[in-house]
Amino acid sequence: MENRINKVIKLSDNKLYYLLKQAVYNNDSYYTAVEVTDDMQALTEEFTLLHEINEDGKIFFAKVVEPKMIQMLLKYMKVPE
Amino acid sequence: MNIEEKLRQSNLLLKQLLLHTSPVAEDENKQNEEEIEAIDESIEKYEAEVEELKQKLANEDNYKRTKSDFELNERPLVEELIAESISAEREDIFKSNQLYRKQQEQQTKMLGVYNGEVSKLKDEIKNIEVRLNKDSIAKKRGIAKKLHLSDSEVVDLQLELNYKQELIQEGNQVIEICAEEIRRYGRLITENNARLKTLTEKEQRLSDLLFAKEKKAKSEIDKYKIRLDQDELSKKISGLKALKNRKEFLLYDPSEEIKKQIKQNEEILATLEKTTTKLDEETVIDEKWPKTIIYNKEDTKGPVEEKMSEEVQPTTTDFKPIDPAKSIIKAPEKAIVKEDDTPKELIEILDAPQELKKQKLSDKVKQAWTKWRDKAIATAVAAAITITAGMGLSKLVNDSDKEMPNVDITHQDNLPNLDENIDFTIKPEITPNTPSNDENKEDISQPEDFAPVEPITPEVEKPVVEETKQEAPKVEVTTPEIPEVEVETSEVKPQVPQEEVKPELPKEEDAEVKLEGIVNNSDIETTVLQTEGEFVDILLKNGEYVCVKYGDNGENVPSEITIKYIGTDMYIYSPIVNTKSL
Repeated sequence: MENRINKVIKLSDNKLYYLLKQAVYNNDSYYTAVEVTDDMQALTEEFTLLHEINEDGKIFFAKVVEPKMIQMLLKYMKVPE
Repeated sequence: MNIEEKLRQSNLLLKQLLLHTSPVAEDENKQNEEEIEAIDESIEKYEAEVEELKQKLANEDNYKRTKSDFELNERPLVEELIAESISAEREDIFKSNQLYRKQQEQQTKMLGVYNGEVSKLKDEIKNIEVRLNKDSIAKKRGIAKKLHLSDSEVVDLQLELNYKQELIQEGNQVIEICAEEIRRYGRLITENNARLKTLTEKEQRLSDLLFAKEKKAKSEIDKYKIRLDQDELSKKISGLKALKNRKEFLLYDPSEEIKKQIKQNEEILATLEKTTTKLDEETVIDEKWPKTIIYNKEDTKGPVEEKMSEEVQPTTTDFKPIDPAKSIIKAPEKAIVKEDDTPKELIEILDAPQELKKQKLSDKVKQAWTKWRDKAIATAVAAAITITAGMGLSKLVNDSDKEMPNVDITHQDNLPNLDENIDFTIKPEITPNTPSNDENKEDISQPEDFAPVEPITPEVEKPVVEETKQEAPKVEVTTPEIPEVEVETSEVKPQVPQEEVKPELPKEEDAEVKLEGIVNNSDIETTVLQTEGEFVDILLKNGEYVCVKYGDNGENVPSEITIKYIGTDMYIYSPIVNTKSL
């Protein structure tokens, strides 16, 4: 359960996300993230909630889409500090 | 009250209203009929007029202007005559100027000839005078007898001298006359030039007037008349509409409308029943639930509803199990997952540049975040409502039916209830003052496994809570790694006999829970922790750790949790230990 706050992750779709907040629920990590420009110099306004999934040693990130999970995460994840 | 009940009640009220709708009196009816006849006549007349106006307006030729005789004939003739007059006068001036210049040239030539003659005569006179003078001097002195002239020669010379002097005098007169003629023609040319200038000015004015006439020429179509007719048309259309409204009002029969509304309500009710049936069939998909659900709806009947009993008959439906693969209704959670939301593999993890960290703290990003967060929550709430509505339509129907088995249709929902306590941790941000979480990774122990609580039946009056009560191990001060203790229980759902039901556990006093997070050394650094079922913030204020928790609106409220800091680790003591693990 690594702390990835303030890290920039690059995903297989070549998108870059800056991880603002991390939450752990049922031993799974969830992040509030904001998309970063390709040159990593600016934050966009595209925020999202990501769920870290570990499968056979590979790490995947999926967008959180379950309404209740979104509500729960956003209830406790405040403005970026 | 669910939708069906509301519709039924609405229908009852409508039927009662229908019963109380009084028919129109006979004399009033006659009066109305007369008025309707008059209105029909007026409508017919208005419609004819409207049609006529529309046809007239459709063709612009109907609005072409008519021109007067002056505009058509006189004015162009006058313009033509003026133009010709100017042209003729200009030609005349040019011709006379040409003549004057010719005369001037002739006069100038003549002046030159006479000037030459006069000059020649003057020389000859001078020679004669010299000869006579020589003769006179030679005679007086008695010398140069060869130069002496005879008397006749002197007379001849004298006569020639006089004659030439007369010729000079005449020549000078002619010269004066020529000069005067030249001047006169010059004046005439100047006068002509002045006339030409005036004429040119007049011509320019005329040209300006003609141009202005072209420019300001009115459109051939009389738009003012069109506008008048358009106004008239709109007035007539309004009048027509008013007449039709009046007729409609006189013909309006509320009972028909009520009947129509009742019919519509009944159609909606029938559709709802069909939809409910489909959704109820869907609930059978899960194997945990009975394969056959028998509905036995009996509606409460009121005095009027009894009359409707033929229309809305309680139904008894025997549903067979449905193959989930053939089901036309998708699971709501799956339905909202977009293709784009598929997991993406992590390629690389990078340290964020300082620029991004600065931007993160900017007001712009905070505002955008807040805006997005509010929108996302609203969307999530709406989606949750849609799912609940979709899945729970049958439940809505069943709520009023006490005899219906109370099926928890949310059994497939594995997500936590927001009102429940959640095993949830927010990680703190790593700062230079904060040790890496990897160092504490081992400290984050998994909840101790407990034997599963036996499911209880609704007949069980009190759950045996003593068996599930767990004592959290006390923290060893000298041991840095202390296993975290979490007591897992499940909410009791006595209505659902088929599901594993765990008894609700009482709250344990002063349980010790390990910290999953690091508190920064700054004055007020927030670290949100998971205690047993409660989210808290730890604030470092004046060297002391203070614990606060979130209120319903996100505000901080005092927490009963106490904090103990031991060496590099921090432990919190919470009076609440009843975690509802989902």
